[in-house]
Amino acid sequence: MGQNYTLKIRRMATLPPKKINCAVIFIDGLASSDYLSEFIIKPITKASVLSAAHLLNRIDAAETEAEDDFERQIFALNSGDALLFIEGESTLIISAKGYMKRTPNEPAGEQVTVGAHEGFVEPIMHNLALLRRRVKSDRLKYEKLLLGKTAKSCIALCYIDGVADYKLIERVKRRIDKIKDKDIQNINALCENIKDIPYSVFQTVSVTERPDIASAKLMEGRIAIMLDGSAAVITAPAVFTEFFQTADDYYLNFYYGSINRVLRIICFFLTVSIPGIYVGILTYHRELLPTNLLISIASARAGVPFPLLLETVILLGAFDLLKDASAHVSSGLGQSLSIVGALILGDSAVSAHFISAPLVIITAATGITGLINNNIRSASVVWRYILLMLSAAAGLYGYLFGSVLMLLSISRMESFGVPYSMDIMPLSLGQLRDSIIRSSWKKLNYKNIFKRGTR
Amino acid sequence: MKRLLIPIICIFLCGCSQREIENVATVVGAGIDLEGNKITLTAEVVDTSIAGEATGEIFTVTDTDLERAAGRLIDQTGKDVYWEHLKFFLISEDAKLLTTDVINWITESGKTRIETPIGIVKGKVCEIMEKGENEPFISERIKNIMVRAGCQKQTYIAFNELYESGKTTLPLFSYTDKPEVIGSIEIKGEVR
Repeated sequence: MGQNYTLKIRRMATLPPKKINCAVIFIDGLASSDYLSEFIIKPITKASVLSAAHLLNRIDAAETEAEDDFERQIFALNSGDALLFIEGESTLIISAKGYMKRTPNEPAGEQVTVGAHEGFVEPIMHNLALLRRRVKSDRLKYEKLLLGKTAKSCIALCYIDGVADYKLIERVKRRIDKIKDKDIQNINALCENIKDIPYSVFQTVSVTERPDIASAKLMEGRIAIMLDGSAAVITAPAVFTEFFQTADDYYLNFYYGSINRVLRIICFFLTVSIPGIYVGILTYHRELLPTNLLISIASARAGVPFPLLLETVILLGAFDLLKDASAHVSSGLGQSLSIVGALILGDSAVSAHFISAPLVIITAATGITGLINNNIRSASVVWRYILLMLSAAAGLYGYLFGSVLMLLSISRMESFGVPYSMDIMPLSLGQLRDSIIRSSWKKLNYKNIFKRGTR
Repeated sequence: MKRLLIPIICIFLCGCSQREIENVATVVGAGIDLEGNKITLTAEVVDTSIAGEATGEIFTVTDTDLERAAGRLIDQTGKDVYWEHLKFFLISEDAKLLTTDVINWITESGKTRIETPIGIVKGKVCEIMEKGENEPFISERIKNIMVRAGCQKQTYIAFNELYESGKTTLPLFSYTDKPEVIGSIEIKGEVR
């Protein structure tokens, strides 16, 4: 550890009659130097003891551990702990983590109107504490695993013993074991490495930044996987309807929550279908349109230089571009983005007969319905273009072919041995209580829905 | 990737010849007259050449039979003719003997709906379908008048009656300031 100026060494000795030499090694910025000087260095320099064993009793640290393995000592040092060397004794690892962390703010993507306004933070220990505060049971287990050869990321497997299926726990451990030599730095890398169908556009694990959602999912028999340095937590297994649920559904009136859930599911099918149906009908099935609508669309399209498909792809692409840009630019530029989007795309392009006005409405409808479903955005974008291409090639027949393909791919997927669509297919009243709709809390209870379905 | 390539190529190579919606001639109303042994087909076609302002354009073609006349409409408009949005088919009293031909053409060609109202009208169709100023479409008005005055019959009903008993009756109406049914005409003939 030569080329490392953050490494600090403090040498000291006890008072007479017996002078025992000691040294504390820590990394500046990771370990708290205030804590070390108050509870380690001060007691040692003021102590007058007869043997090194007596000196150990004078140390005021809450957590110490004797460790002789050099590798582990280095790992502890890099994790923010301090090493205490006492002449004639084993090396002690002293927990003195003092690195910066932010306060557990509410995550921006998962805000609720009423209820808990806290979110996970980056250090894993704080996240585990946030979970433990909600599930005060000794059956809540945390298992620590290390990933990678260089980064040695710490991940924690959380489950409630007796609630989560042991086969599921084994399966998750096996998946993680397969990638134990891989350096993983973010939660999505972990997701993509352990998910069932690696190249599927649908997520088969769900990710949350809210401790209340994570703890509720643990109570339902799921497993949570935390990664140190990431404020998001994976919960698995995931079912399809989970991506249409938000924390607000549970915190507000259940009629309101149910309506919103149904709306989100409808919106998912709308956002993947609208451009495809529009292009399909206008290209092959003009007889399906009311005559007045046909005439107004035809006259709006007069003078537009592009074929309908190209025009649709251009406008959808422009919308996706704006969406991506507004997500990544600083908030000060957001205003100019909306001016460009609304004025140039919406108004000027139409009056210049560059694009047709009905298509602007179609794109807006696609965009709005797509924004509602934040969790399933990637799948909806990909399937939107697939269905668009199919209906441009074969009309509504192609659209139907594509949507059946999509439903089939959803129904054949599995998430850690659990069918992806298990709570809607086959449809049963018991399952329906908390899937497409959210029934009253009087009927709901945290129960494991996966025991029946696990294979 | 190779496995994906084949379906992608298949998708882009399939599909029939696509005409953009503004480049087809959509017929919204049609009617026939008989002069000597020639048919005159009058059709109102949606004209979308001016963006944002769709108007109807009346085309008149003359030929020996309906099939050929409909074919000549393509030459006249210079576009593919779509009959899917046909609102009505008028037959002038002179051409009443051609009613079975019209019914056969509508049901057989599959170009338009079999619910299309047909009616026999006194006078000349090409004069009735003359468009006034400041009126984008005349067909909408004629269709509403036909339905209101009860002087029409849907094609498939007439077809069924002809198929079962070999005859049907169609109302004869006068299209004047006060459109009304002035009688009925019995049609005899064979349908295919």
